[in-house]
Amino acid sequence: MSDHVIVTIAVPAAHIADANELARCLGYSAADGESFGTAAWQDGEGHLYAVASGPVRPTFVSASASPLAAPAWGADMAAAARAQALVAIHEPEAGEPPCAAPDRIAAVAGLAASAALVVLGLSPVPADADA
Amino acid sequence: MMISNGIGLSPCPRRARAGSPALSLTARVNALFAGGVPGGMWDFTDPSTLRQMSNGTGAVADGDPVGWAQDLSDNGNHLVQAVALKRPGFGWEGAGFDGVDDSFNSIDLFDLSATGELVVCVALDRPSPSAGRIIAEITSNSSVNAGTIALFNGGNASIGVDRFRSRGTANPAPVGFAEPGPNRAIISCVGRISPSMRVMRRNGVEGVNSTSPQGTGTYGSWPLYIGSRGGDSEFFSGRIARLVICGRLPYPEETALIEAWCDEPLRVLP
Repeated sequence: MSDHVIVTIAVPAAHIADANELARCLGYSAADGESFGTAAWQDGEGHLYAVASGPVRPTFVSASASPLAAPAWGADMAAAARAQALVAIHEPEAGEPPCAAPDRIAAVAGLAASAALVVLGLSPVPADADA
Repeated sequence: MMISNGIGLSPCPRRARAGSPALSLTARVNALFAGGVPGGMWDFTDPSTLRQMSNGTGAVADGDPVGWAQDLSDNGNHLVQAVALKRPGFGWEGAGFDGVDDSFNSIDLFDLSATGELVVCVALDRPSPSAGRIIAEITSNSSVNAGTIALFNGGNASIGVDRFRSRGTANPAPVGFAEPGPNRAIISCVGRISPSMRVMRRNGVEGVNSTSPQGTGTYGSWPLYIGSRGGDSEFFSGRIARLVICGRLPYPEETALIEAWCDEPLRVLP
């Protein structure tokens, strides 16, 4: 049985670089600094977000609200701190409005990515061509 | 004496053991790579061949992230995902791709530069026929790079339609199916750059195939991506159970053998 929990995180386009520095601090290697890529998701008002989702240890979530420690592989701690100040962990409850917003890094824990995206109120920016 | 393979093509080197019923399906498919045939085969339903971390450590249980998948072809083409949040989750019916950011890539370049022929086969289970775009692609964009392949779901013009690109220096329209497919499918594709051949089968039924020219050359040496385009777009949603990419032209019975191996975890073939 896995001891992991699925977490889905929506980062406003303007904060992607800072969020990746935070991911370097919370993750397992320097590669986690590439957690957030293209802002390929949008909310109902057209604001763009980069989204990452995956199974992580519960400590990943709790550490996001704890004092940050510089990882062995290095990180821009000022940028990580800016991102951490924007983190809002959503507790899914029926009837709550979508939680992604341009001024916060919204995280949903415990739901599959498809369900978390509904909570976040995000949809993919349409692709425009065949692969 | 030349041996006919039934489709008018020159036979390629083969080992008789691949057809031996005494061997397991895995061993028989592995034998197709004998003699230096390039490619890889991966079983995302077998936790003994998977690890949580991209450095090949950490046993995998149901729901755990998969950061490393062993190449069972003995070619050493193991797959990895170095970014924790981008790792598919393990399940007994395969690696689960979330359609958001999950994918694998080859550690090194996936070298098919010695061949202009191959067979690709995948077993997958998706929430809908249109759930996700790229299933497997060699290079970060097969539309623009020569000597590449892609197995993918059509875009706006062909929602839910499974398609196959194989190309040398020329890029003819992908082949495939005219209608959306089932959620659970065994999809196999045979490609040869020159003389051109592209054959696609889904659950044992052939799609719309083509001999339109693909130009010249071999398949080249590129990164291999599973479940995404270049690791950052066109993400697949659903489970991939098994995958084979074998760099030579198969005999029809060998294609059937590969399909049977891929089908073992899902049992969707008639």
